[in-house]
Amino acid sequence: MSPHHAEVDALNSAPITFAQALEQFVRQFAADARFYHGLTRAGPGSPAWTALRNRGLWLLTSHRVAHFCVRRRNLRSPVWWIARLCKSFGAGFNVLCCRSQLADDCEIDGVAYLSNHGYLLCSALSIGSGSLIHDRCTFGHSVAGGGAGLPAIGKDVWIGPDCVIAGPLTVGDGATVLPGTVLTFSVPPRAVVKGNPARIVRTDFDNSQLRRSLSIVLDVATDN
Amino acid sequence: MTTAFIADVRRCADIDQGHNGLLRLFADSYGLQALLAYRLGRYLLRAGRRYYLWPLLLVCWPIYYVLSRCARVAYDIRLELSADIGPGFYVGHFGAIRVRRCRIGANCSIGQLTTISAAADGRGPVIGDRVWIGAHTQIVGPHRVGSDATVGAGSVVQGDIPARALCLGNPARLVRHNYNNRRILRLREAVAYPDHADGHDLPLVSVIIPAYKAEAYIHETLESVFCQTYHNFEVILINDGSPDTEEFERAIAPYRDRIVYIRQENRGPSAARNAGIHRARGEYLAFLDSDDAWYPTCLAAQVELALSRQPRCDLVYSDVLVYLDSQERRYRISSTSGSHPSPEPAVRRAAKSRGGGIRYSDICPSLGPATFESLLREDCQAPTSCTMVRRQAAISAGLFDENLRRAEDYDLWLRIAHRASNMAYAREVLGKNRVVPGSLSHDNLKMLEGVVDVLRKLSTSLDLSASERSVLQNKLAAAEAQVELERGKASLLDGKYDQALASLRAAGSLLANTKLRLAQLGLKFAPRLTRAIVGAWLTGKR
Repeated sequence: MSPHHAEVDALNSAPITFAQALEQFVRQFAADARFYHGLTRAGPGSPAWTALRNRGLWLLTSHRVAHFCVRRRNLRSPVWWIARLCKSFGAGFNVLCCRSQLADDCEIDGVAYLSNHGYLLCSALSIGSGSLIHDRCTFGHSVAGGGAGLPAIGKDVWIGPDCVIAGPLTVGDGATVLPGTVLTFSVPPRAVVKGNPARIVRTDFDNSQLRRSLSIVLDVATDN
Repeated sequence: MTTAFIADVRRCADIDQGHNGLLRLFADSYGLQALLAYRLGRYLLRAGRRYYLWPLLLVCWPIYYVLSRCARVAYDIRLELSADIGPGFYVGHFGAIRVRRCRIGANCSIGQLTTISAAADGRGPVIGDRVWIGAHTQIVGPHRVGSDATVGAGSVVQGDIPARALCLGNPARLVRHNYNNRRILRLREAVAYPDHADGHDLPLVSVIIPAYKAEAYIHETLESVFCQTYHNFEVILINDGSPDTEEFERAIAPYRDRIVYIRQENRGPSAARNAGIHRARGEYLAFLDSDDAWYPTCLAAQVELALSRQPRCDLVYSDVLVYLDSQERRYRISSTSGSHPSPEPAVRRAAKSRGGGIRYSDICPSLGPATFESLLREDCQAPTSCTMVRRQAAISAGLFDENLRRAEDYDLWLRIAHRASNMAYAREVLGKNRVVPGSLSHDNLKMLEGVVDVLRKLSTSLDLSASERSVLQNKLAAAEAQVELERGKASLLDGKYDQALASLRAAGSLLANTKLRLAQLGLKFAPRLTRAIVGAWLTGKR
């Protein structure tokens, strides 16, 4: 168990009132909506409108609820029961409306962008804040490779569409995974990987330009 | 429908060990819901043949439509009815799963974002039993995936995958030969490896490969043998006094400990095969030419067919894919064994229009049951490289005739068939047959002469009934006419008009054909013009 989990377990025992939970939830949601709004920059200019039209945000929100349920299991708390009810609906809602599945115990601290187009099947251990994950990605066990274990995605990571990240590995902070990569090994921070099977094409690359919008600029890291 | 679907549910329950009851399992497995619609649709397709079920169909088709639409809209899982999916199928997760125009064996698994479908020409992939296909995989086109194979996540399959192999990458490369995917398929032991797979009670098959100047192709040929899903075989490779022996032996060095290797002086393919038969220990003999190849299921399918009859079949053959080789082949053992026209023009046309090969059955269709007479009439034709013969039947028929250099296989098949044997034909394409571009008209003539020789020999040596004799005489006359026609064409193009006229007259007395009569007339009055016209027509046909 990681230290992070231990910390969360310590929190489990602390009782939480309905008002506290709601406040936490709304704050988190507002932060997420602002982040999405900054990324998409489309439609009428209010974050509320962004919240309505971004399916990735729906996914993230329902994940927050599910994550709360898993991590703060407390059968005596009415807050937990309400969240549990929402979670049951949320799973079906994710599949039917967001076309994605996100493991309940995946730690997303801070805000991360999850694709609006869906087809995201994510059972990663954690996703760092500021990461961008495009559509049609799969994170999970490396089944044919034989190793049991799940990937952990660092902060400020950019992951293109059609990627598969499988196995017990870590994607370092600020790494870039180009579209169509099948990644089965750990990536150092700020590296660029591409291809199937994957290889590291650059070691020190600043992806802040890439993470500023949702457009995919393919020629960023093709040299070297 | 019900048995297949129950197998699906069982498989799903095996994989999803911690499920809470079947209803919950069904609600959580999106693939199972899509499979229910698919199995229902397949059942309805079959039920359409029985008219008393039509009222049922009236109710059920809309149900199928709604169910499959739901699976498509909600989960984007498309299992179309053009796909033939075996029982025990498992669909992992959901999303952009497309399965159409393909054949999938029993107990396979596929992941999300997977496409298995036909290429633009309509020929789809064939996937064996117990194959695990990972997420994000694309198998598009007429590829064959052998049983027990594993295709890793993200692979793009662009060729055949042998049995038990592990393939990864884009394009998919073979990573490991003997990969055990039983664990990841989560199959029960008995299902994963059926008892007979070890081959204790299955017959030993002796694979006989005569080789002459085959250094360039032998690797592919041997590889296709060692990739067979059937494991109980021995390989006998006969080097027929090839001048490139040194390079050849270097090429086969990796396989030397797994094959029986015989060297002999050059005495032709018949003698080489006979030497192999003398050495063979198997109950069945499978012939393969050194420049052809088998698909992974070839032996398994043929043995299964041979054992399905009681008593066991004496001769089993199947369809092959005839394709044009881009490289020049220096020497060729006959690719067709009858007097049918050479397949080259048809193959060339197919290659031009479809970029691939053509089925042997498109050139020489096998119609009706395979008997002596149908072989004689060439209603049925067995290609050399995909024919399996019982060793005892071949020996009692007297092996290959070493005096024949052409159509020697046709001769042996006929002699085996004549001994009241039972034969069977597998309609599947189980092998690949190379055809080389070049002047096959000359070759064709030799082949026809070979057929005439065979028929002449058989008409004297075999003890025939009256009806068989009449069939044989008709066939002989037709073959002779064909020979004369080919000779006439050849000498006309060479400018030997007298010989051409004589040949065409001889052919015309046997073949009533307006074109032939016109050619004769033309030859009489304007030989040069006729030569130009015939030349242009022949090249146009090619």
